[in-house]
Amino acid sequence: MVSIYRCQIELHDSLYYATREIGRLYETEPIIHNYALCYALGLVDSQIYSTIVAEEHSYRYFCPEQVPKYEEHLTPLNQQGIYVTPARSLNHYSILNTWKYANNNYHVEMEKTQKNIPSFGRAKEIAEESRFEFFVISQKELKLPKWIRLGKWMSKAEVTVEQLPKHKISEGIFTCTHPLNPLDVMFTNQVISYDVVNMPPVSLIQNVQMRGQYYQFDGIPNLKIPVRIEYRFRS
Amino acid sequence: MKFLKTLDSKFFHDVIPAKPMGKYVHFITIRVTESYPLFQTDGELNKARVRAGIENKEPISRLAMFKRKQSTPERLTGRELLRNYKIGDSEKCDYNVDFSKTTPDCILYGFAIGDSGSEKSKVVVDTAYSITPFDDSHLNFTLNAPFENGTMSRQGEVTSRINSQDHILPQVFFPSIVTLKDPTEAGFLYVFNNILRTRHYGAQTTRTGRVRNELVGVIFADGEIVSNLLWTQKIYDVMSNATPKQINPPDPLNEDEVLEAATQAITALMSQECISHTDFVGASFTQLLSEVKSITSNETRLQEMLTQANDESSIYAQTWVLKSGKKDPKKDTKVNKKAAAVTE
Repeated sequence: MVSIYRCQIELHDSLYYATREIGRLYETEPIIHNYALCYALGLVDSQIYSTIVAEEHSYRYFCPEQVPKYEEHLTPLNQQGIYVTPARSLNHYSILNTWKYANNNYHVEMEKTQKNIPSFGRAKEIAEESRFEFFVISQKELKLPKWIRLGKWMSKAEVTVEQLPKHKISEGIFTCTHPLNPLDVMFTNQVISYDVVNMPPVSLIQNVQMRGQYYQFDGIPNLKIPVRIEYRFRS
Repeated sequence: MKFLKTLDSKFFHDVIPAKPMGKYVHFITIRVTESYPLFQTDGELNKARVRAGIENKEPISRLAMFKRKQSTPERLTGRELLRNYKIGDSEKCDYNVDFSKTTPDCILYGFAIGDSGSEKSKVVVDTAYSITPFDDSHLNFTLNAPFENGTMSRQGEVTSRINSQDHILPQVFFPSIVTLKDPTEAGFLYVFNNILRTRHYGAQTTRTGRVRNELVGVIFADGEIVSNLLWTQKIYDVMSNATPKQINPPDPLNEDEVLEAATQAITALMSQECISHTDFVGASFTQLLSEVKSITSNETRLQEMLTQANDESSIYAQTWVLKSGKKDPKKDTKVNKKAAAVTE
């Protein structure tokens, strides 16, 4: 029996990640990618959720290179039947912060820059007390952590989980009001129309009209979640 | 277990592990301003508009002390000590420019060096918020550079050397939790010592940023605990619901009352947590604190602790960090060594 959880995130610190880089302005889009959520919730390479990955891909404190391993890390979640959707904002506001690199020398000489790495910039962050919502679909009962850390600054956020009432599966053309990861749905459902939210590594889609099977819940008529979503990296 | 008698060795690792192993220690501190510090970017003090308390839901603006404005001075304190006692590669380790990747600072607080890898921070600090509202916690100062006779004009010439700047008042309280993941005993003492010793935060060019860290407790747990924001809001509730009311703007808060409310608030919040934790708060913490202070204030014991922390981080570096670098020696060229750790 599939369990579906509606989860809410409340930020307790300002949240930053670079969805877009516009010169020296780094913008945080108020939408959280589902890959990011899997890591933040501790679902990747975890004994508790039986998602241990091969030793050479294991999650370590030291990263020798900046190459993501989404496929290696997220495939075990498919095997356990755990899927996390991207999170949309329920209410949020943004703030601008300036950041810079610093060093602790008493004497500083101007050095010729050898690499094109900016030393200062402005980050548009999502302010504390903003709230997000996402869904977790799982074959087994899950217990998620109450406190997680998100974004580049590892900002603390509170997670509240509500198990949704019994669902039924319907079929036909429907509109999903929540953002989705197109790679994870387009091979099992026919996607008709959508808006794109540009973000690396996989842009998300929202206001999606699609044909296929979907979960429906008693008393929540507007909530429709496509059935058979899983992480996919190659067709 | 070599240094502490009051703590069970189960809270610590014998060696620094390569992977997150789910041991956490949380340092529960109240940062108290003692002069007029500046925490600002873009010429304005950092602030955040949030709910006043958990029960008192009205929004207020609070002063914010960003995370890197807390961790950077603490890192520098530790690095200074390592250099003073000439421990490990501290001489060669240039902060944010060329990390040696072997010192306790590099391994515990992390680094990121473009193509030659990054070490995730094991010490995590969050933005801290003032208990009292922004309006009652700051003051605008006029700064000028008058002529020698004390006036701003001389023989009809008027100087424009005048400016004004918002400053944070003394006796403003910032509750802040510092988290250390997967501690060894020496690593725990290293971070503890840095928090105890650091006395200046905020703009480095000013000499006014004196801040004292009052530790309320240490909590060992198998996960993350409450946020600074929630703790601050709970303290606000406790103090404003007290009879007589303990928050009376624009008067500064009474430090004894703050510490008592902070202890009460953290105890109440921890009782709602659903993870396993061992708290050293109040009387049980006093004993631990005095034991830690007896180590950090004794030069021989302190050097022993620093050496131990350095040995552990060097072993970790040899096993995990430098080993992976050797695979491709070309990658470690001078150009790529340029550091890229952000300190805000």
